[in-house]
Amino acid sequence: MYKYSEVLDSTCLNDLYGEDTDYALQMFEIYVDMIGGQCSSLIDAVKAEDRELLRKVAHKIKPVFTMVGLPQLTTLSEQIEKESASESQAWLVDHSSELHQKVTDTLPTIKTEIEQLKKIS
Amino acid sequence: MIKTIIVEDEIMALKSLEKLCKKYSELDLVGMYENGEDALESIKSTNVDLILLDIDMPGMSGLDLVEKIPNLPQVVFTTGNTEYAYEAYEYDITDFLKKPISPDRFKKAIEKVHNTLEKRNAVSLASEMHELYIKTDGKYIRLGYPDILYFENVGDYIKAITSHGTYIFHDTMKSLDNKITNPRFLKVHRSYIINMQWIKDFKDNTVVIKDKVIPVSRAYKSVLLGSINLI
Repeated sequence: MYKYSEVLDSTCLNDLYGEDTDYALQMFEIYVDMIGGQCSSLIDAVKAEDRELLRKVAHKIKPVFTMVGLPQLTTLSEQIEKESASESQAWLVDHSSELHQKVTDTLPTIKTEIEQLKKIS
Repeated sequence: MIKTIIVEDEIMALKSLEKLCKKYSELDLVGMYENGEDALESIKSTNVDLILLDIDMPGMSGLDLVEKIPNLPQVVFTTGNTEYAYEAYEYDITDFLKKPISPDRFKKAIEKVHNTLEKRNAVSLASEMHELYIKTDGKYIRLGYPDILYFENVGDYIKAITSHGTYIFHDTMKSLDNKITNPRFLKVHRSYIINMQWIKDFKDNTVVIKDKVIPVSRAYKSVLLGSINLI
């Protein structure tokens, strides 16, 4: 079984991809292509105080983090989605910024993982 | 083959479902759509057996879409929120998958699709053997085969004469002849299909059903004679 970076949750990655590293590579590459735009949409929505749009964006990106071994970011997105209508604007700004920052911080790991996966594909 | 479409607005989920579908040779992936509106157009023009359908999409949601499909094929909902489950199951769906979808869970969903397909085929076969439904006056009326005496062509319409009444519906004799699976029915003339169990007597080129004298064409007479127990 392919060993993923320790930063990533290998249990959920193995559940999703098993031995199919081509499949994992495809999903990791899509993630890198799209996550920047999605995070920008999230930040734009929170800045505009558009809570319904914020809920929708958080809902949409929620599962993709688990697909690259970052289930903790799925949990954070879910919190934003669920609290988008009820929490204060400050709470939403804090949590959305935290999510954005964590996405930025983990992106190099995801990119390194793509290179590793390319080597064995 | 199970004609399948995917309706999903999130690209990773869409590609993931495509990948999972390709693991099953019996799934014929005929379309992938990022919104309900485009999917609906396709469903109207194509016979689809299975829809893998996201619930929460911009514009028309998955739940809105199933409301608009007249003859709903099998639906497997895919969603990030289990809170939709109760509402989703109101639609007689086959399964409900939470994203991200693992291959094991997808496999179980496909097994359910197969089971449902077998049940539906069995029900459909049983129905074909015993009855047909005709559309008349804006509704479908069930005609049990034993109750039908004969069908008569009247211009662009067919008259079904049964033991409990007469019904008129739009169809052609050729099309109707292909739809009737019961072997007791026989076309005896270009304008008549009869139920042989109602034949009272026959002579020369006519059969009598109740008091109706029905012509038998020369071309169909030998088929009729070969279909009855002539002593």
